[in-house]
Amino acid sequence: MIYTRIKENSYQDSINLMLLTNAVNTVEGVSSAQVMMGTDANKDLFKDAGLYNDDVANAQPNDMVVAIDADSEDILEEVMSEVESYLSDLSVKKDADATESVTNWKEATEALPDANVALISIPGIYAAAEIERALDDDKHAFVFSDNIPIEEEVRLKKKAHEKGLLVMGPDSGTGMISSVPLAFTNVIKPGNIGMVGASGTGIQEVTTIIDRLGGGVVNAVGVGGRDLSEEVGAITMLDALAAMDTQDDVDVIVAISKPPAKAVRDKVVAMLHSLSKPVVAIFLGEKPEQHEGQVHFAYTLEETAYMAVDLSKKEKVKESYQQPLENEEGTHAIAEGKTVKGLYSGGTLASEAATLIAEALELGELSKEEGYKLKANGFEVMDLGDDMYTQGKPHPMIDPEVRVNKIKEYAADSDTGVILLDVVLGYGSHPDMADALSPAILEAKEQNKDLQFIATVVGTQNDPQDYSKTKETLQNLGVLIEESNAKAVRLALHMMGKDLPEAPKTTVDYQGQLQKLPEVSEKVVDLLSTKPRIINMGVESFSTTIMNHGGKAVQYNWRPKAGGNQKLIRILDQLEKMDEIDEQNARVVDRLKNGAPFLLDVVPAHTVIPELKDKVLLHAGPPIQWDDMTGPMQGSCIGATLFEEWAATEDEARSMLEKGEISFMPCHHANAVGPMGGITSGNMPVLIVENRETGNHAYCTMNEGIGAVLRFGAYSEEVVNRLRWMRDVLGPTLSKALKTMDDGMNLNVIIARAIAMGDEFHQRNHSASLIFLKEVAPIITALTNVENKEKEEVMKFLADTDQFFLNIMMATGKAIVDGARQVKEGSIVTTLSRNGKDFGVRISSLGDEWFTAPVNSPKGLYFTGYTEEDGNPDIGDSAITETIGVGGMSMVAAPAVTRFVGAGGFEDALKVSNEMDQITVSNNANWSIPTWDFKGAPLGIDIRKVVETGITPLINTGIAHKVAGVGQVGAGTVRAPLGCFEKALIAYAKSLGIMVDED
Amino acid sequence: MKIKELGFQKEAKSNFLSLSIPEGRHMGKVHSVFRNSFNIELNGQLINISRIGMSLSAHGCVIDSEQMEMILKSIRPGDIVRLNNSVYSIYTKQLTINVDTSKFTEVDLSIPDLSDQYIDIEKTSVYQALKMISLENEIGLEIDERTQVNLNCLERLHRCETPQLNNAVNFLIGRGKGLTPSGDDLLVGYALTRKVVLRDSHIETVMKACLNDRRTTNISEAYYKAYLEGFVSSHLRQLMELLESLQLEEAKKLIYAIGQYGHTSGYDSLYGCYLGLESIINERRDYT
Repeated sequence: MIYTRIKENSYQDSINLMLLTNAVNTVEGVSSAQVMMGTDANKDLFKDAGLYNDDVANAQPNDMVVAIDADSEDILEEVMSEVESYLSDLSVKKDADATESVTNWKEATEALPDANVALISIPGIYAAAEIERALDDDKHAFVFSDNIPIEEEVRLKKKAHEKGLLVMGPDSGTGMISSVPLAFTNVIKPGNIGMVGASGTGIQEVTTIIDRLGGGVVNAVGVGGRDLSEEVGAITMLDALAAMDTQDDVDVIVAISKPPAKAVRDKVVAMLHSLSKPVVAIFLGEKPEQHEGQVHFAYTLEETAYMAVDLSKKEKVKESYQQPLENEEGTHAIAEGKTVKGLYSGGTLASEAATLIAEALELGELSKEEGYKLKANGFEVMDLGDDMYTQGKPHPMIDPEVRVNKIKEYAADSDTGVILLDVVLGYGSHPDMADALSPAILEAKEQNKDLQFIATVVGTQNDPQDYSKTKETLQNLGVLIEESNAKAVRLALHMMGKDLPEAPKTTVDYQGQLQKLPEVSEKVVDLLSTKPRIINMGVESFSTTIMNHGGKAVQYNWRPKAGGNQKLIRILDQLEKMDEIDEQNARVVDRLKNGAPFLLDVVPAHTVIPELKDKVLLHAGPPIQWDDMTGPMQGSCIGATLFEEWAATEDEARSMLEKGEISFMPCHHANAVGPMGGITSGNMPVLIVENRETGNHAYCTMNEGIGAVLRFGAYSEEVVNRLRWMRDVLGPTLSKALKTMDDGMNLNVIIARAIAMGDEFHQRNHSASLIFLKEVAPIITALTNVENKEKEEVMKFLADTDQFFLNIMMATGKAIVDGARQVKEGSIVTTLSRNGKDFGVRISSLGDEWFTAPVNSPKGLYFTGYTEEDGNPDIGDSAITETIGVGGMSMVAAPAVTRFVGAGGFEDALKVSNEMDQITVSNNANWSIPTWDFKGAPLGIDIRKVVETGITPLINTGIAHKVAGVGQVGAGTVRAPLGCFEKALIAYAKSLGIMVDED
Repeated sequence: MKIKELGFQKEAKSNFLSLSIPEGRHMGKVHSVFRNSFNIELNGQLINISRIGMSLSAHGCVIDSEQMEMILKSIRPGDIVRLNNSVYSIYTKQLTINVDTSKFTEVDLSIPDLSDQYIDIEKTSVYQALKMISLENEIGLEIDERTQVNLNCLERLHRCETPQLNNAVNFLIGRGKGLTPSGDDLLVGYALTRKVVLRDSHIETVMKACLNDRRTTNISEAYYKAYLEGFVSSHLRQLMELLESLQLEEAKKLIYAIGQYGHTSGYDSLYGCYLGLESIINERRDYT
């Protein structure tokens, strides 16, 4: 049975998820399990693994999906406990590492202004865009990611070359820049050797042997396995070689490549001859017979290292570097007919082994079969790091599983005489691979008594793993250890009765032409001669390693932009290049900030909204008709119809509404806003707020208190009578009071004071309501044209109604955004509103155009007797508060409200506002929040940021019963749906002339 | 001589360095790191790098104090060092640090020869200043009965038979704690004094022979090597030159400065010098 659990918005990098998958698979009762992000590509892997169901299908790219096959659902709980424990350990580790982390490129460059490299280890499909971004920002790219199309590699490398930058990769597993290890790298002593390699494990084998020989390497630039292909033409290798030639601290240059394209190989060799320093070059698969001038050609990686060390000491290279085997004495020949199997985690080491075995045993061409480097006459050398073994699984340098299975498989084959292994140490690799392989090796030797294991350990004494202990562990298992891969292979061949003598090489003069070396850019010189300052995009452990070795790093907790939607990513990339958008947005935000709201009066709605002179009702959210309205809005309509006395009974009212005798229009289309159902009719009193900066007015009904109230869909006689009292007493009294103020009531002052007193103005308005009462109470008591009884009623109502200020704040928000909407420009959200069916968004450049998506249902606390089942989907114009940066956006100002979020502590409130800060472009210093270290409320929601991050505004809201007539049943929070922002972004892009792919 | 001249106030290098290391590129490594100096092992010999204001080693140089601070923050024993035509490149974990000694003042640290004049040891300020200190209490060797026998041999060298002298030298080579064992410092100070005053090389011959069989630390071996090649540290050279002076205060200052060197190393050397001077006095007394 398949059981799944979705952790929403919980992005983890792929290595963590792979390790987590491993951990989960060890839980008793789990037949199989996968933990992955809910991307489309991963969903295919879930399908392949037989772990796909509807939950997985519905998961979003930023959701973490845990899927298991188990006999009982209880197992899932145990698995989730393992998951939580793993993630919790990670977060503790993160705290301990104290690496600064950010969530977008801009923050990364602000956190590390002198950054010169982007280290990219994210899924390949997204990597090209990030490389380009780095290049556009004048930074080198070190690209661990693979699966980047070769045409993209060519384009980006050409661009880098033109800008004087390097793209190191893609698929560059190893690198060392100014002695700082990048990605999967051993700890090598710095020294006077510089290296450029189109092979990750090739670099690792050569650098570790150099280190163990007492030499040192200052720079090792991985250029990616395809750099010497015909298409790429060694762009990065040539630039890196030229740069290393200028380095004073480099005396010897080493060039390593997998089998290159012939023409490219010749181009590189011509360049090597033109360098001023001695060179050691190895083109794997080539068997050189001589050296030429100062270029020394090696056959094995071991020989490469030995020659480099001799040259670094200014000693002449020897004619032969074949080293005596450590285990030659005392080893027994294996029986005839037995074969050698190589189980390699390093691709280049596998290639080297395959080449040597094929040559010695005359097995012909190497294998082109996926996963194999050699497969002939029973002799097999496997590259277990090949894509076919690592799809959705950790690399065999991290995870022993694939190799353990293969050891078992080969041990069961009586023809297997020798199994060759590599154990690669260094950052990123398994903490104790020798120990992890031990049970399989012991079992294999038990099963197949004559089976010999030969291994090489690629590592140094300074690697995070213990090099000596690793060797000892293997030796204790009876594994024969050789100091290099070449020697390990030679030992295997020796046991087969085939020695592989090395022909001595002489040096001949170089007869070719010397080239003019390309000019070396200052940026590349800086890269190779200073400690790298790195924006680490992806695998977090890379940041720690960089910092431990004297580099600087900022951890960019990268997530797929726009949830991985390629169409939206392309739009965002285009928009990012348009600097004028930031300028336009800054102007929009200035207009929002400079809004000067004053409460002027309370008047019957029809006196200021001409449309309400007819049988028209205003409603919340984007346009909607009766049939589509949910229960509470319909209930409000019935209540308003009764209040206006268009009908005498509920049935009559419903009939009129159903027949279309009453028309509807959004509050927002009439300079108004309305809470919940937002139903506003002509005789309802409305607050008038003037934005004195821009001269516009906005309107909102007054707050009726809590419980059975019209805005939540209640329409009982009590409700209608209260509305009448508000029309006849509350409205006129407040109007008279406000009119005594010469300039109206300055609301910015009240807001600034109340936000410091714990209000966020959506769910909590206690302070603002009290301040309002404090302001109007003396005036009301002094009014001579109002009866004392009415004054008393008004004062009591205001004192009892904690949320009275909410509606004032809503009119304030509307006045402010409408002021900002007077100029159409930028990508700032100017309206967030919901009608119970759809969530509507409007943005600054596109005026009155609505972009909608189905609303979500709030989550929160319910009054006794009600549950989430009773709640109506999200509804109301009150999200105008979030639009101007308060409400859920400023949750940190009102920790008391946080209980609606869930667990509800101050940290939760802080987390919410910090998250909201990521989707806004500014902060409103006028509304400074003491509990946020006096930072201003987040202001100016940018649709680009919302779509890019997938973070949508969090809205604090009341919850109406879904049935008309019941009223409020709870309060909580709700997320704006992403879809409306995506639609807005597409329309915005089109309005700017950006070509948008059609779906 | 003024006190500020006791240590080198500008970047300087021993002339022994250029004599002992041929031009070109040599690879070595950082051998040891101290609070104010470090040693490089290169071509089988040690090179001492100290900061300005300290004694200039016969096999070393003194460098700018700020640069030394920067280096000491980064280097670790084992770091690779390249010497390329007077420029030392130290490949530290943090960065490659270059120390260009080509413009350093080259200082002659060859052992002076005062044997062509008669020096009345007891009247010299050096002897008088040394006598004022309880050197036995300052040195790193515990003077037990066996040690005393060997030191007596050096003090009355003219009466010491060759086997006894061999025993004494063998006893002292490598004796004591630390990277420069006290016995080594003592022996060099002793032999130096006799060589400067009397041009006596007998003790040197014995030392050479004993060093063939007996090992001490690399750093001491470097000092022996320099000494046997005819070079000593600037402080010891200055002390020897002071043997011609009667300025007691200057001698006291110099001896104080030498005494501060190392844990007991400075006093060990001074005690060796003192024994050397005593041996000359004793020898002269017995033969006149």
